[in-house]
Amino acid sequence: MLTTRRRSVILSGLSSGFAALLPTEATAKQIDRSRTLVIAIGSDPIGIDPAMNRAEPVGSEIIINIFDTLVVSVADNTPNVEGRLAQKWNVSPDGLHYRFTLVEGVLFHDGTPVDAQAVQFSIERTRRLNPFAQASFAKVLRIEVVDPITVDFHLSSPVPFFLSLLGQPQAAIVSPKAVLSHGEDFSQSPVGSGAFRFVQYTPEVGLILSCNTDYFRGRSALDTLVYRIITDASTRHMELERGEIDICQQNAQLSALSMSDIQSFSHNPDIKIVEKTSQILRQLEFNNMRSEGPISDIRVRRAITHAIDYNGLANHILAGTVERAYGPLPTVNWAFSPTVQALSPNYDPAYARILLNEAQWAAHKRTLSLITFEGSFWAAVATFIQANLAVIGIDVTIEQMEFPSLRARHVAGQFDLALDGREPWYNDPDAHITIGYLSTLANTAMTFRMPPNNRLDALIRNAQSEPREDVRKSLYAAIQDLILQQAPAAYLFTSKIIIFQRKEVEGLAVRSTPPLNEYWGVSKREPLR
Amino acid sequence: MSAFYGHLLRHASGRIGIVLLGGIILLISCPSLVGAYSPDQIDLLALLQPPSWTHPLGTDLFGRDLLSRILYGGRHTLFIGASVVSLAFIFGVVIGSVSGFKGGWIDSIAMRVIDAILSFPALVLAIALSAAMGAGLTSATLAISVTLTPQFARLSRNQARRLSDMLYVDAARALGVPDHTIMLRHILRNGLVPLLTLAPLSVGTAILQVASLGFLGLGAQPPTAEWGADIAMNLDYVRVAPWTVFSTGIAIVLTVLAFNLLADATGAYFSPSQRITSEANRA
Repeated sequence: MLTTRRRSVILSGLSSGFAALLPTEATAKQIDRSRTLVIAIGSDPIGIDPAMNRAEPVGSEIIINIFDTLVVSVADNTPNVEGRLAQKWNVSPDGLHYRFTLVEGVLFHDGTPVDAQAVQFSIERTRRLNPFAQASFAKVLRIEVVDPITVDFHLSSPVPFFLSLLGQPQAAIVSPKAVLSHGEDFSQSPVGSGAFRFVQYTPEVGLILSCNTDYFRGRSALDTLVYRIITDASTRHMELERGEIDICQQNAQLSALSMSDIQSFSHNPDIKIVEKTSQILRQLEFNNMRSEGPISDIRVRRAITHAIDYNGLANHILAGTVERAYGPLPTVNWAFSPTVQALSPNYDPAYARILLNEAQWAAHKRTLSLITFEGSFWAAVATFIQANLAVIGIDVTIEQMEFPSLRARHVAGQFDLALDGREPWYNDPDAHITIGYLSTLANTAMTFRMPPNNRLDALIRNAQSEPREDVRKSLYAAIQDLILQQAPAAYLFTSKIIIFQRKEVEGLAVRSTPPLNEYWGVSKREPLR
Repeated sequence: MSAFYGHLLRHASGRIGIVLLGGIILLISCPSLVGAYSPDQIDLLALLQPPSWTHPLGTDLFGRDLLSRILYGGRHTLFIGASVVSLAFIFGVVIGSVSGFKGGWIDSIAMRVIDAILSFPALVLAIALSAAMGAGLTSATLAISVTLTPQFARLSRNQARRLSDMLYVDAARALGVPDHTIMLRHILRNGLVPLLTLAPLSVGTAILQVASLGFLGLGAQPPTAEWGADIAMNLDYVRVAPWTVFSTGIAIVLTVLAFNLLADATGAYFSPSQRITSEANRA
């Protein structure tokens, strides 16, 4: 047990931190700190409702703890999924028909059953309301309730990664009764079947979830999850050191550098650092739609890919918080082709200068524009690349801008180089390749702006609908080779997911793509005193 | 004018200000005196090094020598500070003298515009203007000079109003001297002294604002060394490498202090009461 003194210290910390959050009847005395997990998040969640989810990390993590999906991706290096609400499933040989058998007797937090009708209701609702899920479920012709625990999905054409799509937070199953009674306000009081129930959300302060004692996989060892919104990184750092928060979400690492935290936490015996590889890919894109100017010359593009000190960036500047990437697919993706590693450009400034000479760079030398996001992380990477390119005689101006401005500039094609990234929300090469490289999508957001290329486009479309896994894998190998030959980008690194937690926290599960924390199995060891 | 320099040297803050500013200008114009490197030279084997003989102030995230970055950054900061004040001085004196001398509707309109600018907090206005013009040193310079213009405009307008009632101005008018000649010969020249006091004090303010905009990412763009931008870049490391932030911060403090001390001494020279006291002391 905690000593009285320690407990009172913790409670005073707690009460100052989230007094505003607690329901009036729940006074600080009722909180058992050893059964409460306090999680620091950097921003408000956007839409705690599968139909409102915008693939945004904070809201998505809360969704997977309140709701369940039919299946869950198990690891990045396999297309396999494991069942959650679905205990088994069958896929017809033509890949057009999926039959799911649900786990029997599962209840939503409001006591209504999780049945086939709820699955049909939830997926149709997400498909109707969520623009981010429309592409995922565009090929679903109809969803059919066979009996209370059996549901059929009929597709218009095969989608080999359909199961992976059903593991996304957008595909979580909601209580139809709660949706019908709350209507528009469902995201203010979401009701799912997950390990935790929604209790309260106070914007800019935080959220409280409580344990679902009837959870079908067994109740969590925790009574309460408290999410505290702490926007400032150094405040999060200090509160974790003082033990007022138990886990620090490092979604912030996507814009800020985390090496400083890692360095100081690595000497702290009270803090554990959890690292996990991810499919979060970062790259220096070229404006591939340009038909004139230096970037349209493949020799200039290849020179740039040879001028970047990839290992220096990953191991020194970013201090090993990232891993080198070699091509359009992250190394951990199941379709990553090992031959790509050999084809991938290495750091060779002398060769880069030779290529630039061949392209007569000196004759029409000009300053290239590099656009990227705001934040010290992007600034550091951009500055390093700028210095690398200066060595081979290419001057670069860096412009950092907010997300919407960057997307607008990108879609309008007003840049030479873009330091950008992608974070796939389902575990399939399709999530990287189709949006990125299909030339018909060149003028939409998040693409590499590829010029028309019938061969590549045909390969991508085939791989998208080919049901046999080994054939898909070889199609994606050909695609990776073909893409690398055109040097549409310098592939820099994949970011590791880094989570800081107190040492007494045990059993944290970080899901595979999308990499979100699941708190069902978490417990807290009593600190030894 | 030599009386003025004599006063600066006799005045304690003037002496310290001159020595400090002289030292700073000497160092940033000849960085090689202290063995500075190129400010953009990346050294992957010396990231975030604490101060040592090779790097007297340590190195930053990219292994760049901090002393060199501060010295080369000082050039930008001081140059922009001086440009900002010169621009604000020119804008302000032209607007103020014309509206004070001409009076009437020109005066009303000009002063309402100046009041409108003054009604915004200076830094907020500078942020808004430079954000609208796009990040960069030129737009930061223009934005800050807009926020400093009102001080000069108001002061020179008051001078112009006071002086245009003088008998010698009436005499010049009666002789048919054209307006612009009167303004240049009789009004500007006689009203210049208080404006000159304001100038060095404004350089200090301008340097702080340049650094603030740089800190917010609106001023110098990488890899340009600039004090505010460098502090923002290194702030992530304040816990593991505090020297990266503190040394640049101290450089800003010392430079602004030098200008404020000079302004203090200049103000004392031109202030009537101080002058009488110091002359009485001498007698």
